[in-house]
Amino acid sequence: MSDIVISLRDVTKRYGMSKVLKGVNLDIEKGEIYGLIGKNGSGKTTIFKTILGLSEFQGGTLFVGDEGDTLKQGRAKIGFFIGTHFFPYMTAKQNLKYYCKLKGVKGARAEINRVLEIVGLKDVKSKFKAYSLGMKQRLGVAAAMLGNPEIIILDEPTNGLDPQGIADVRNVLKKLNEEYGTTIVISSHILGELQNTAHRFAILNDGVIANVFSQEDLSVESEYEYIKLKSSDIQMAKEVLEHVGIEIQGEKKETVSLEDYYFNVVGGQENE
Amino acid sequence: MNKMIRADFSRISSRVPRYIILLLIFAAEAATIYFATGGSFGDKRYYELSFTLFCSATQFFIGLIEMAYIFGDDLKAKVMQLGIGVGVNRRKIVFAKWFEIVILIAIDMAVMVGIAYAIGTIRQIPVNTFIMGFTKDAIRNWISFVVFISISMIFIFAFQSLAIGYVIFTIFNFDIINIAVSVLANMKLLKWLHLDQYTVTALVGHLKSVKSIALLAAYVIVSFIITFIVYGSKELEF
Repeated sequence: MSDIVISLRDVTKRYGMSKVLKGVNLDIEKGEIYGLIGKNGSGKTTIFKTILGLSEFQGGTLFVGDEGDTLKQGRAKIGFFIGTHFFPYMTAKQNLKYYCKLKGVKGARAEINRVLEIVGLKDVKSKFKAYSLGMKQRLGVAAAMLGNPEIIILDEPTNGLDPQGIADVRNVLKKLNEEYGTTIVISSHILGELQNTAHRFAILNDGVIANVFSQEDLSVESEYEYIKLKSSDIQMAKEVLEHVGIEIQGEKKETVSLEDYYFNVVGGQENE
Repeated sequence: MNKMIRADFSRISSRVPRYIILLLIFAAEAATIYFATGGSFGDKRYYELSFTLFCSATQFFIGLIEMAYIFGDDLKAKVMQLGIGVGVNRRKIVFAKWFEIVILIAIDMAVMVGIAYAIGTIRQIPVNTFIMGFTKDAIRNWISFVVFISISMIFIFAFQSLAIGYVIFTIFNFDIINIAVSVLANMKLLKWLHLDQYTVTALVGHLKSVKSIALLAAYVIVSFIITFIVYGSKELEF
């Protein structure tokens, strides 16, 4: 039996006269990577803010954490990234030191070095105001990881990141999930990236969850299965297949993914 | 809440520009008292006057400086939202910020009294006869500040803007409210209310009265209540 660590039931939320969430039902299981998809303004950030207590909802119920946890106890188990909120005159380490004090993270120095190493900012000495967008995003992800929280919520963490940065974030999240069993909830507009990362997905549309599906469901959707052939004489291979009654409907050359092509040129790494 | 207070004090204590500005103010105080008592060596009258005037004049600037470091940075970076996200109750955030700023101002006032004591000693003025008066002056200024910042906080949290807080703080510090109340108090229709007795300045001038202390506390408590209401339901930006 799976454990639900975040559950929304008929959650409604309005801003003024505009109803953004119209009865959201969502269950996130312990130890999974959950992808939330929706167009701009669909309410993804609102859902995250509701879970974190940054925004009050008008109707429905919310549960966070383990069985028996109060909402406050459950929320204390979450690390999050919703925008980059750092002091511009402080360095990465100084900002994370503030975060550690605020969260009561023990062993702050070692923890800060650990998360900065993961996101590639350990040796950056400049102040936050001098950071590029990508660096700011990385620091935000690092802050979310402080204290090894059981649940991490990330709102479009790969915005503004270069391909190496996107791959790094993906690998970090997968590692956290596989090694520590961290539950990760992530929203992104880069659907291909989300497909490489998440186990389950939810589509938010018109204020409700329109569909929830898994990686397996993506496979089942296709009527066909494909096999890959390697042959020195492709023409002869085709004739053999046709001879035994296999209809060849089309053929195409295998292509390298754009990401792999990029890494081949610049010499980056995917670390998978 | 304690974690937030510790985190903020740790952050502010590393802000070198703040120390430079405060040092300049304290140096100006020292110079003012020193040179004011220089004409007639050991002139007690100018000693007392120079401290009282300097204290009143700089209360406003010290208030602006400490407000910038307590509220300004947080509002700009929206870091208070982080506090809410890690589970700090909004009311506790309001109280934490208030506590931080009134403590910082208390420390600043104490330093100013200490400087007056030191300069007086250098000038061979019998400082022990003045120190109680200076301390009372500093406390009165501090209490005024506590009430003014409590009222300003309503606007700072409601509008998430330090600029508006500065405007409200300035209005109170330059007695604009006092003037307005005096005008109203002299109107035939409102004269019987004796409104001028209820201004912060009037109440601070009668601190020995329990009624004055109660009314000043009421100003602070009501300000907190209003701040809790406006901030508690506010949708915060990201």
